[in-house]
Amino acid sequence: MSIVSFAFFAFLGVTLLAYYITPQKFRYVVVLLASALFFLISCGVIPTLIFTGTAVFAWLMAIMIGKNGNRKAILTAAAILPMIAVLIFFKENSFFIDNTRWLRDRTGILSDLTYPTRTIPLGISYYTFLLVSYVLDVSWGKIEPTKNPFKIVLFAGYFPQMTSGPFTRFADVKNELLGRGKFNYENLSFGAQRFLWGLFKKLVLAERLAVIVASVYGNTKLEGAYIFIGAVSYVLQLYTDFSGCMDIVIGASQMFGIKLPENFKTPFYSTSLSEFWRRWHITLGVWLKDYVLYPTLKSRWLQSVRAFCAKRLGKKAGKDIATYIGMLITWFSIGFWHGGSWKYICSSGLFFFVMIVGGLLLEPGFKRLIKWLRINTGAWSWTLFSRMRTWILFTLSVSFGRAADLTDGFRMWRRAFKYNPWVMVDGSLYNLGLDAKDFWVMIFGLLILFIISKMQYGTVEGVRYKLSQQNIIFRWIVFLALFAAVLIFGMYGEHYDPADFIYGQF
Amino acid sequence: MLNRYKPLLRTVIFIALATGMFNRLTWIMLPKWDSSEVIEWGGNSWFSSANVNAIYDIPNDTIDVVALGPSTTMRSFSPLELYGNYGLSAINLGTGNQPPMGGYYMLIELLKTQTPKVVFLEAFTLVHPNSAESFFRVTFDFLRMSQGKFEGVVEHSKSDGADSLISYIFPLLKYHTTWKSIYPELLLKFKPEEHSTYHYGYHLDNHQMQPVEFDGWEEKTVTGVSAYNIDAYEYLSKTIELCKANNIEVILYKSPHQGWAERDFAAVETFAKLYEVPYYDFNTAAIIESSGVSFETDFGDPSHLNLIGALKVTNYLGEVLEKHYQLPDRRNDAKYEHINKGYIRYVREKENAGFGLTKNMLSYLDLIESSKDDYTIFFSIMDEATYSLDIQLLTALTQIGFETEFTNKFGFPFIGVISNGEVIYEQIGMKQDDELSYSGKLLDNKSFEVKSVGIPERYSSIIVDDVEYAKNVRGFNIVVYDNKYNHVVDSIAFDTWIDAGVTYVR
Repeated sequence: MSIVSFAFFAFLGVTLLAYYITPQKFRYVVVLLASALFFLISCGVIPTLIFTGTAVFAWLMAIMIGKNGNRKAILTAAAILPMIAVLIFFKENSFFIDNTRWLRDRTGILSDLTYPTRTIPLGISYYTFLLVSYVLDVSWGKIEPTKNPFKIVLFAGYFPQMTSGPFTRFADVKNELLGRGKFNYENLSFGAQRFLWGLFKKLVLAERLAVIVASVYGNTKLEGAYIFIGAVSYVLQLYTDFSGCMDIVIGASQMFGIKLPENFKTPFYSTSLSEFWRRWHITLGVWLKDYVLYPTLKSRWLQSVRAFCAKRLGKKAGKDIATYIGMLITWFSIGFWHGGSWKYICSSGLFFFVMIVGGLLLEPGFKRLIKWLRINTGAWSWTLFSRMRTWILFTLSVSFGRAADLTDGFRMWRRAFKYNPWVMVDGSLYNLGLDAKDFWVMIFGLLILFIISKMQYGTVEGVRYKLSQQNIIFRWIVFLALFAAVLIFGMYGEHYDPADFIYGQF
Repeated sequence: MLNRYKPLLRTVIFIALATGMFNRLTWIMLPKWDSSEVIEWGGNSWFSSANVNAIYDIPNDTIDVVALGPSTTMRSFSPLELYGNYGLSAINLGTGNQPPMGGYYMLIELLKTQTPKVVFLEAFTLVHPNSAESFFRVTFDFLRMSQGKFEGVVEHSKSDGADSLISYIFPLLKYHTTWKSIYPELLLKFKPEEHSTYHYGYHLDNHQMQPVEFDGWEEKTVTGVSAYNIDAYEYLSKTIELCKANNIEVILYKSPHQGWAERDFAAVETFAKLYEVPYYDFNTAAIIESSGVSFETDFGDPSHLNLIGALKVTNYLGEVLEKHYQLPDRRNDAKYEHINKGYIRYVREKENAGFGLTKNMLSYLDLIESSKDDYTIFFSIMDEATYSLDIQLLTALTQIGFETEFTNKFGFPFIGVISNGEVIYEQIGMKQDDELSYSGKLLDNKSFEVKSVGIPERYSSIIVDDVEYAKNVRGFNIVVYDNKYNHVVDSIAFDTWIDAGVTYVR
């Protein structure tokens, strides 16, 4: 069930009604039942059983870990490895299959592997990470294992976040998700507004951008300015699609009184790639930092490497090398999580590793250059330059993720170096799948998005709070206009088939 | 106390406003099936939506006779002809390719406010169904939501799934894409078709297609029987049963139709016998002879009758009603005054149709001479129009009031305007390349402008209320404007260079 379908809206409405008319003590049961139903409708019985089995397994292992302090490490490994294996089996198997085939083609010594045709359980890469974090938190003594298996099933299978996250921690959500949800008018109102804004991003903007992206990436005859337009459109599509999805998920949750963590914080205002990744898919970054990077840095083998390097190259170099190895593993994991193929590992992972580590290594040189050129890094022009640099690097990186493979990505960028800027103004853009009216709706929508982002940037309260301080007539006009815009300009219904959320496939 | 319920009150008011906006947007976006703008939805300019709306616009308990069926019904059954000649109160509820299921639910809706005594069912769809979605839409989209409509759309959507059903309940979800063809006036219009009772559902056609030789078949020569459409059979049967349950007499009829085969006739006749209802097929020799229907003159296109044919069919059916069904004469009943108002307009439109049905210049000028009161008639010569003017045409031009000497004026431009029987302007050029122009105001204050340019420029223009009507082809370009009802009735050009006004362009 897509979260931008009429069926989901009805499902959400009925669940909300049932939630608030149920006694507080049992409200989490309503969400649990709704999540089970959502899972069943979305992917069928077997995947639902696989999910439930995984969650119950994690719950059981956490209890055992809690009771057996001396065998904690073995039990933790015994809990996590099968879950990761199931995830790889269902989701990331293409990495092994494709590489095996590549080796077989060159060596002839390996037998062919075929892709499994099983239905992938909904949100497997999300719920697996959630369960792993739960087991690790219990193992590290951060939380006590819960005795109620249903609470773990609900924690991992909470239906709004099954599409694309965000990643939550058991400790952070247990009070709201599993507690006694109280009705709060502000939550309901703010949640609905956020939900509507998410629909606007997804149906009005992302779906239109998707048309342009598909036209550019699907036509190898397009060159020059078209390639830049396609690449920029893809970044905007990725953002409006994913952040729109998050708005829907967080908004829906807020209506239940459940506060989910933010996944975006105006990422395009970042002046460096490191900052960018602290503002884009925040919960994944934090998850990997807490459960991959730090444990790796603290691991015995990396400590040995650090000590070894420190002895030979100096203390700072030893520390840096250990950090870079940890970062390499983390960025590889990010790329691998995005999809079991080298294009994701390189474009969404290793590229950023090289850029960030390269930046760190070259930082002293850059600083000297800036000083020598007497650049005022406090000036807005420098900030603008830094933001544009971040934009360009990110755009370049993800453009390979959208291409069929790395080679295809390189071929596409080779075609970019053709001088034809007039296509920007001579009406050629209307041949990319959107007619003039749709095209200008998209531009106007992006302008609104930019204004909202500008208002949002650097504030704690957020745009919704600012809006709530306005007079009721103004507020209602804004909400009704947004509702009308989604209804009229949204690309849904009989003539459209809204694409799945991009991050839903990761 | 009030503060406690304030959020609830605000929510209720906001939802009411949003619902109102949703309904308004639905109406604006809904194809009206009455203009070329909805061709993309399979619509036509047959005002089908008006016929559905008529169900709600006719005063209660004022309809005695109803006709249901596809476009052939709309073109063959004239309720106001029945009123004028037999005093009957009737309505034509035909819609483009009306599926019998649609007719059935329209009748259910009609029976809520009307108590008809006789229902005519046009039999075409029993053996020639068209299951295109648009034909269901045109019927159901304009029916108000009721138990009957809900049952109908549930039944219809069984094969199409939940999305189809939802889009019948909330048509905006299907039609929101029509925003591209919305014009400003539509935002201020509050009814889909201003004249839902215009001609009481009869679609007057003043075209005349090329003659076809056909005298009908003898019943005894019929061999073979067409297969029934299962759905059509089921719903025509249900319609008959519904009528019987409400003490309504049913009459099956088939209008003259060039695609109607003997086996079709046989199939409907068998059906009629089974349900013991009379059947009148205007394609059989006996009824063709007794009704006077001619396949040479009575068709606007191969499937549909023009005015001449419709009058013959309607009057024949009027005779049947008069002879076999004792229906009251409503002509002097104040309760039926609304029909009388429509009848006055109908009579005028029949007169207007005479222009459209006239195909040679001499007859056309005679018609102008006999009925020029209450018309404004514009003449403009394009290229050359005098070479083949014979004495009869010259005399006819003189008789309608022109004093211009047309002989020896080869290729000269000419403008003439007649208003309410008086020539208010006439001017022939002094030489071939003169450019003539005349503009003024019509009686309803709309502007007009007539231009004529002879050889070598060759140009003709007749603009009324900013719309160009001239055919701008060689010869006399004529436009007829009805001063009573303020609209253009006909636009034609007779080529009096090539012959004596026999060749024409309409």
